[in-house]
Amino acid sequence: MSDRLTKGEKAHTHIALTIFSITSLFPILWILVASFTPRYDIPALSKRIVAAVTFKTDPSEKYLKNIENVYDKYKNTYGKVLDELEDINEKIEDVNVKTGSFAVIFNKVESNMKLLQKGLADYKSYNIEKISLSREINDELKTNKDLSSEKKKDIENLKNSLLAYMGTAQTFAEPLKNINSELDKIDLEKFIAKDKKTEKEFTNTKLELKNIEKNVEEIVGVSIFNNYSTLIFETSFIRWFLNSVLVTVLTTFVGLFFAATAAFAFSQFKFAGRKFLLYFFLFTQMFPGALLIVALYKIMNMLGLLDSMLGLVVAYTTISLPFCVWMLKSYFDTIPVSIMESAKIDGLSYWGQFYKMALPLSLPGIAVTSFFSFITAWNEFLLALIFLTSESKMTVAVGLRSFIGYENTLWDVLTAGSIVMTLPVLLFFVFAQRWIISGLTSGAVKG
Amino acid sequence: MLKDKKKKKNFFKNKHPYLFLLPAVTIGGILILFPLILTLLYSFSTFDSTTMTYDANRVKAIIQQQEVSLEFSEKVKLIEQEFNQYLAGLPGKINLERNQTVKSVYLKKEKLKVDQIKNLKNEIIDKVYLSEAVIDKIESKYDDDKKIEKQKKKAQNKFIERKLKSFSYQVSISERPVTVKDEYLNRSQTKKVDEILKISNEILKEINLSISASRGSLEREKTKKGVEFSGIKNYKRVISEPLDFDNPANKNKSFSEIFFNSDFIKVLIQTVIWTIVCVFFQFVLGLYLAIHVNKKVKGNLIYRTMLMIPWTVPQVVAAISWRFLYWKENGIINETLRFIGAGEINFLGDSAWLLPACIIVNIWLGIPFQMITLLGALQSIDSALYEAASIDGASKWQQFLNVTVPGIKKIASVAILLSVIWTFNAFAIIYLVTLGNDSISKDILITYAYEEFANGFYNIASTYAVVILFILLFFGLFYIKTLEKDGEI
Repeated sequence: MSDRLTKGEKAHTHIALTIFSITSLFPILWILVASFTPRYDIPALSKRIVAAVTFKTDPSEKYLKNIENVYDKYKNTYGKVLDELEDINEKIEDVNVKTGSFAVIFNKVESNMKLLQKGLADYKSYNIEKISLSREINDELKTNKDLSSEKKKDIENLKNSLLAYMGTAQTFAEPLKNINSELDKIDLEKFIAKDKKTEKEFTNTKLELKNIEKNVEEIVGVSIFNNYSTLIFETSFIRWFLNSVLVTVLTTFVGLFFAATAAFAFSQFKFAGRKFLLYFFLFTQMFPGALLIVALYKIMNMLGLLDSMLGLVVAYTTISLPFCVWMLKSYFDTIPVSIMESAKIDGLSYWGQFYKMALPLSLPGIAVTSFFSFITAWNEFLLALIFLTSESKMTVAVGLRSFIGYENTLWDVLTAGSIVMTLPVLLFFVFAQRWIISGLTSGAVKG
Repeated sequence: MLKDKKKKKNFFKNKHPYLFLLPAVTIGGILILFPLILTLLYSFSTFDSTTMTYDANRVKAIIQQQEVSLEFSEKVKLIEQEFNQYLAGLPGKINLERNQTVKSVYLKKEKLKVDQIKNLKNEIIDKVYLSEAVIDKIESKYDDDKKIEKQKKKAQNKFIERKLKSFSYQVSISERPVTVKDEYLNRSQTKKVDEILKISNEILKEINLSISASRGSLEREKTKKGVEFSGIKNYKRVISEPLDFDNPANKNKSFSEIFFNSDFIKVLIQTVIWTIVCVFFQFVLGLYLAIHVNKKVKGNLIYRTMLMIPWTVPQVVAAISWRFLYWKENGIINETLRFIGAGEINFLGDSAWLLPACIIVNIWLGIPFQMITLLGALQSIDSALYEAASIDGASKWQQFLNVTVPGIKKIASVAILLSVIWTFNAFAIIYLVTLGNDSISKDILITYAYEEFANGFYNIASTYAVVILFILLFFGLFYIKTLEKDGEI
C-alpha cells in the first residue's frame, strides 16, 4: 500500500493490530497467570479478573466478607505454623535416627500432625464451596432484594467450618514453637540408634512434616512458584522434558542430514527417477502420520522400536523429511551453477561441494529447516501417544495429556507444564525470528 | 534457468546422486512407502485386535500339545478304570481270601499300579508341561493377562506335584518288604493300602482334570484365525455403518437410505465444514492482518512478533489453554457470559458446541502462518505499481483489487492449498480439546479413523486411511499443478 497514511487509517491499523495481538496472546497469558496461582485459587481466578476489569463488586461479596475475614485472620497464624515447620524440617533434615528425649518431642509432633492434616484436608474444599455459594447468592439476588434465611444459614455454616479448620492453626503454633525450642537444646547428631524400627518411623514423620509444610504453604500462598515446584518434584515432568529434548535434538540433526543430502542430489544432478522421487516426496508431504498409524505401529513392533526413544526419532525424521527436502532444494537451487562448476574444476569432490559449498551458502534455509524439524519433533503428539506406553519414556506432549482427567483436571501442574513446554520453542523463535521469517516468506510456500 | 539445466546435463548418468539420495530414500521407503502399501493391504483384510495376536507357531505348538495330552489322558483313563475296579473289589477280597500269597499278590499288583502312575507322572511332567512351557514362552510375548493365567496354571501344577510327591512317599513306605507272619492283612496294613489307592485315585483325577481343562482353552485358541483377505467388506462396512447392508433387518432399505445415514457421511460433512470454515477465516484474517502489519506504522515489528506467537505454541499447549478458557464451571468465557447475563455454554459437553469450539482454536493457531506468507507476498509487490495506480486516481479498494490481488495470487493459492491439507489432517487439536467426550459430532475423518484404531478395528482404520488418501491425492494433483504453473518443478 502507499506510504502516506491518513490519521484515520493509522488509528484503524493500530486498533486492529492491538485487538488481534491481545487475542492472539490472551490464551497463553491466561495460563501463564494460572500457573502462578495457588492450586485452590485457580477456580476463582476468572471471577476475580472479571470483577477487577469491570470495576464491579460481586453482590455476593458483601455476604461472604465475614468468611474472608476469618481466612485473613488465621492466615497469619498459619504463617507462623509454617515458619516453625520450616525450622523443624531444616533441623531434622540430616538426622537419621531418634532416641531418648528426642523421641518424646517427636511423639508430640506426631499427635499434632494428625490434627493439622485433618484441618488441611478440610481446607481443600473451602474455596470450591465458596465459589459455588457465591454463585448461588448472586442468582438469588437477581430476583430478591435480600437473601433467604436458608442461604444465610449456609453462609454461617461455611464460616463456622472455616473457623474450625483455620482455628486449628492456633492449636499448633504454640506446640510447634515449643518443639522447635526443645530441638534447639538437643544435639541431634549425638543420638544414633541402631533400632531399625524407630529409624523408619523417623523417616516417615520427616516426610509427613515436609508434606504438611507444603500444604500450609499453599494456604498462606507463600510461593508463586508453587505449581512449578509441584510439577518438578512431584511428577515425572523432568524426565519427560529430558526425553523430549533428546528426541528433538536427535531428530533435528539426523533429519537435517537426511534432508540435505537428498535435496543436494535433487538440486545439483539430473538422473533417472528424479522426477518420480520428487513427486513422491511432494505427495508424502501431504500424508500425515495419523494415516499410517496402523502400519507404522506394526512395523515399529516388528523392528522392536515400540516404546523407545529411537523409534520416535526415526518416525519424526521421516515425518519432517519431505518438507525439509523441498525446502532445502529450493535453497540449493539458488546457488549459481558457475560456483559449483568452478569448485569442481578446483578438484572438489561431490561430497566436498556438498558440505563446503552448498551447506554454508544456504544457511538461512538450514535455519528454517532445522526450526521446522525442531517444532515437528517437539510438538508431535499422535505418534508419541501410540508408540510410548511406559511413563518414564513419555515426551512432554504426551505427559501433559495425562494430567487431563475425565473427572478432574490438574490445572496447577497442567498450566505450569504448558508454559515450560512452550518456552523452548518461543525462545528458539525469538532468537531466530529474522531468519525464520525471511526463510518462510521466500521458501516455505514454494515447498 | 534453461542454461542451468543444460549444464546440469553433464552430471547425467552417474552414481553420485543415488549415493546422496540413499539415506532419505531408505528411510522414506521403510516408513512411508512400505506403510502406505501395508495400509492398502490391511484395508482388504480382517486385521483387528483379535487377529493381531495370532501366531502360526503358537497354533502349531498348541496342536502338538493337544496330541500329547490326548495320548496321556487315554492312558490315564485306562489306569483309572483298572484302579476303580481294583478299589471296588479290594475290601471284599481281603476279607475273602485269607492267605498270604493272595495278600502279597495284591500288594504287588498295587505296587505295579503305583509304578505305572509314577512313570506316567514323569512322562506327563516331561512332555505335557514342557510343551506347555513352550506355549507359555510364546504367550508371554503377548499380554499380561496370560501371565496371570500362567501363574494359576503353575499353582495347579504345583498342587499336582505335591500330591504326587506325597504319593511317592506312600509308595516308598509300601515298598518296604512286608514281613507279615499273619496270613491276614492287619488293620494298619489295610488302612495303608486303602490310603494309597485313594491318593492314586485322586492324582489320576487331578491329572485328568488338568488335561481336559487345558484342552478346553486350547480348543478356543485353535479357533482363533489369522489375518485373511476379506475383499471389499471393510469398504462396505465403512459406508454403511451404523446400519448394515448385510443385516437382513435392513433389506428393504435402499442403498441411498443406508449410505446417507451412515457415520461416514456425517463425519465427511463435518470434515468439509471444519476445513472450509477454518481455512476461510485463517486466510481472511491473515490477509487483513498482513495488510495492516505491512503498513508503516510505529511498532509494527512488535505487533508482528505478538501476532506470530500462536504459531510457536505447541498444539498440545494450545488445546490445554483453550480448554482452560472453555472450562464450564470456572472458565473465563463462561464467567464473562454469566456476568453479562447470557447464561453459560457447555463448550466441551454440549455436542453442538464441540466442533465450533475446535474450529475457534484451529483458526487462532493458523492465522500467523497465513499472515506471514501473505506478508512476504505483499512485500514482493513493487510499490511503484501503487503509486502509478494512485496517480491514475484509483481508490484504495480498486488498488486492492487490481494491484494487491494479482500480486499475491500465486503465493496465496499455494498457502491456501497447504492450509487446506493441514487442516484436513489436523488431529491433535480435536483430540485434545474434546478429550473425554466420545460424541461423534466433533469427529473429522482422521479422528474417526484414530478412534477405530484405538478400539482395535485396525482394518476399518486402514480403510478410512485409504479413503482419506484418495481425497488428499485429489488435493495433491491441484497442488502439483499450481507448482508446475509457477515453474517450481
